[in-house]
Amino acid sequence: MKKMLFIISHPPYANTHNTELLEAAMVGAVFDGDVSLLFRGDGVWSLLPDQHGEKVGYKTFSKMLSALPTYEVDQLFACAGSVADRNLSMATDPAIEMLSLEQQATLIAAQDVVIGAQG
Amino acid sequence: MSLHLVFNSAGFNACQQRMLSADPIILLGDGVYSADASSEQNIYILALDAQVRGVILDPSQFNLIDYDAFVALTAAHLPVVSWAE
Amino acid sequence: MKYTLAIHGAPYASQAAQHGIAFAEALLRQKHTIERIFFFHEGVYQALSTRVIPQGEEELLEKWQGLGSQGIELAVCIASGIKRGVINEAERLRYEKNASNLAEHFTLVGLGQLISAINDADRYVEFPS
Repeated sequence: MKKMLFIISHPPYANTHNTELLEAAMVGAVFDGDVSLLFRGDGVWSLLPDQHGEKVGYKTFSKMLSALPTYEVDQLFACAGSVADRNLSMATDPAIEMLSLEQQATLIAAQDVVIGAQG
Repeated sequence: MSLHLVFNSAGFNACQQRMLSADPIILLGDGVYSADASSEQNIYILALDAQVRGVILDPSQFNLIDYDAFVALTAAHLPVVSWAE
Repeated sequence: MKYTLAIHGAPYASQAAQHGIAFAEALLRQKHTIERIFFFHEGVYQALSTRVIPQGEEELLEKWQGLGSQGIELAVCIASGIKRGVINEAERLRYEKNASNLAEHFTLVGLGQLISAINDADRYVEFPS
């Protein structure tokens, strides 16, 4: 069983990368991977509640996110600094743990695989 | 120990904030523009990508590598983390 | 050592193909094995058979196919691929499209094939968009 970290660093509706990464994370959990997710940089905009992606024909990222615990993806983290910089009021469900930069470094170093880089 | 692949300058910043200080970095693609001779970090540069961009780096001051060395570094480290923004 | 590679970038919008191909060729020179090369996000466009390469530019599709002809699995994420119009003959029939365009040596596979390739490999290396 591999430790897999998905890093989401971009906002959710400029493209469909975030939903595609979330789908991969769900499949990772179905395959018994030890899956965690880290939202950082502009990726933390994905954590706003009350999104309506369907109005532009996209899947609604916040709805997918709330379904994650049913896929047993429950290690959800966000960069505390990225959230604070944006003065962001996050969704409260699912629960997301705030990490300092040092804690993020420790999280990354503990992985077998890190997925999600995008230019 | 992790190996970090850095593909551009914003990725370099994000990586530096979230890496352990002894982790090695490879600069490739537009990441080569972040090469800095005064850096004390363990940084390698994909020589081909610097050459492509006209970025001239003195081999006595920079760890310039080819794809074979790139592969060897990935084999010696886990995880291999890509950074781009 | 066994590697799984992921290509997230499209041709002409990233250097993902150049990086991925040169890295894969170096892996083979050093007698490593490649479990699977997985094309994800806009990386699926690498597999288009209908690309016409301008004179003087490198034929990257042929290089991918060269790896494929050596038995390396070129696996295109079906979820990322079909919604972007990258389809094989089976999907052409299923969705009643007028042409298929998945290049020879590429296959359309589910995301499970990414995860199983990661599980079966010693290393995962990703080339971003």
